Amino acid sequence: MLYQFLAAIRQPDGTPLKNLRGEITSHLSGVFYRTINLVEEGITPVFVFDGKPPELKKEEIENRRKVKEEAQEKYEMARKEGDIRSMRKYAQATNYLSSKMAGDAKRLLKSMGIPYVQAPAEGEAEAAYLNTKGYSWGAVSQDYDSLLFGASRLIRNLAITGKRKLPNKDVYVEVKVEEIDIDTLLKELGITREQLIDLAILIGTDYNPEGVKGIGPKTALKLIKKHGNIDNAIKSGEVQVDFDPRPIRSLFLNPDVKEPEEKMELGEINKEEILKILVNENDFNQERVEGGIERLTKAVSKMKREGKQQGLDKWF
Amino acid sequence: MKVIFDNGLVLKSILDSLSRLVDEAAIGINEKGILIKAMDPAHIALLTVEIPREVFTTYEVEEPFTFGFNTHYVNRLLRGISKGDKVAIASAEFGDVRIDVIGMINRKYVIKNLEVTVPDIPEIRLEFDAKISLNSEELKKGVERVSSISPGVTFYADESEFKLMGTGESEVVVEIPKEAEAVKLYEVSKEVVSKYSADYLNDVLNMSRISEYVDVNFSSQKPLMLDFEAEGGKVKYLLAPQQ
Repeated sequence: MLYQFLAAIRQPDGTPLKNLRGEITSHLSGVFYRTINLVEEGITPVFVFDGKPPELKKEEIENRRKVKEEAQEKYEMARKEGDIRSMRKYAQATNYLSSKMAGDAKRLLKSMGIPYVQAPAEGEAEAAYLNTKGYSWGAVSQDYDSLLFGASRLIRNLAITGKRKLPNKDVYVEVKVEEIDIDTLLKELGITREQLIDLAILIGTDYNPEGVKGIGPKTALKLIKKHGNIDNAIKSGEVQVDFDPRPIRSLFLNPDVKEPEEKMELGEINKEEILKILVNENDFNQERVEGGIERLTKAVSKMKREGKQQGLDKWF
Repeated sequence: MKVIFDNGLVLKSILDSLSRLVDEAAIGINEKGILIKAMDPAHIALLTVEIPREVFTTYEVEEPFTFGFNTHYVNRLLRGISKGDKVAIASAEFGDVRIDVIGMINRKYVIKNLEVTVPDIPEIRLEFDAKISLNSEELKKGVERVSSISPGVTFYADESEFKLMGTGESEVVVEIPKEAEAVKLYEVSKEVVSKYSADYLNDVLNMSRISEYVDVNFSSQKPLMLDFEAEGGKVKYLLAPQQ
């Protein structure tokens, strides 16, 4: 979510929002205003922060680093040429979330009374765990990994405006919120969660980005249905892999997750602290921030008055 | 396959409630009877309808048949149905389904049998501390009164009375004593209090048209189970609580 804020909340030339010291503040703007939009719609968001990525993700992280470096070089070239369109395009691919930025976002969330969890490892895995344990209604992510990690419901394209910016393009498209229910998905595909993980490993995951050459989603499904799992498919000779699928499968089945330390509900709003973080430290417009605090206060008190609706799942 | 609902109003009332829960649903028809199970996308309410074959005067089912449909569309088709009208559901050519409304003026429709994925919904086993059987129209009126000022309806029961309460700009309490004429059965083992969504309750309580009594089962901070019985069929509505 914070990366999305960093990518989308920018000036026309791609420069992110910054305070007077030149530090990026797009993520804080997103956390503040977009979270208020969600709460106004009756949603209690729980932010999950990534922890230390597993060793197996090294290759993917290295790939992402390279892409960012290349984008940075292209951005500098575009800047020299005064090509604003390209500047925006490449600037969006240079997103970098420092630990200070994540820390500031957590401080802001705390002052807004919005719950958050620091994941020990993968944020997707922790979000899936919170969902499985009934702490949340669904896991919100653009990434399908949450389903592999065991989330019972994945929500994609969560935005109140219904618009999302296309990556690398100066174009906003209408997007509809997508809900994927794991039970329905598995029933439709006729496979188990373990088999879905094997299917994903064949296509490629963050832990084996290349997947297996020549195998796309349709072939992968056919192979998993035919052989039951990836090991049998390898034994049969129909699939040749140059990696060991077992540790990858194990990461999805037994991810490093933890119980949340605090209650997953809306807390008290600390107006002074919000103003300190946004206005004093990061040069946001005081009037706008105060307007936001007022909206948040109204939305939170409405939600508390109406009560929190529970789902039936925990009684099944 | 051909099944005739002798009281079309029962089917219409079920469809009314069903269409407020889900856009698409399936009626499972087999040698024992018909079964509809639907849970809303937010998993807040679960509606189960079971009607044994003995209830139908015409029940020609040789093999299990599943009729998948858009609930809003079929609900529209049955608009204007009145007491005494019959509704026949039958398999038609090309896998379609024929619906006949038989009354003063007969109507017939042939619609597509949709492939609806019916989610596997496990059984819920719950023990309830309060079981109150009361006139369904009285319950409906009580819920309407509370929901006019409050988005949530608090169900309260102790050994002497059952209350529906709500708080908004003002407060409202509807009291139904154990001895009230509307109460047929009153079994409350301890004081219980739990709150439920007024919108969801209003959506299901139109069933009061077809069922004189409703069994209200609840415990503190647990789902509410409403059991309706109409013309030999059973409608069970399970609603998750609010905190």
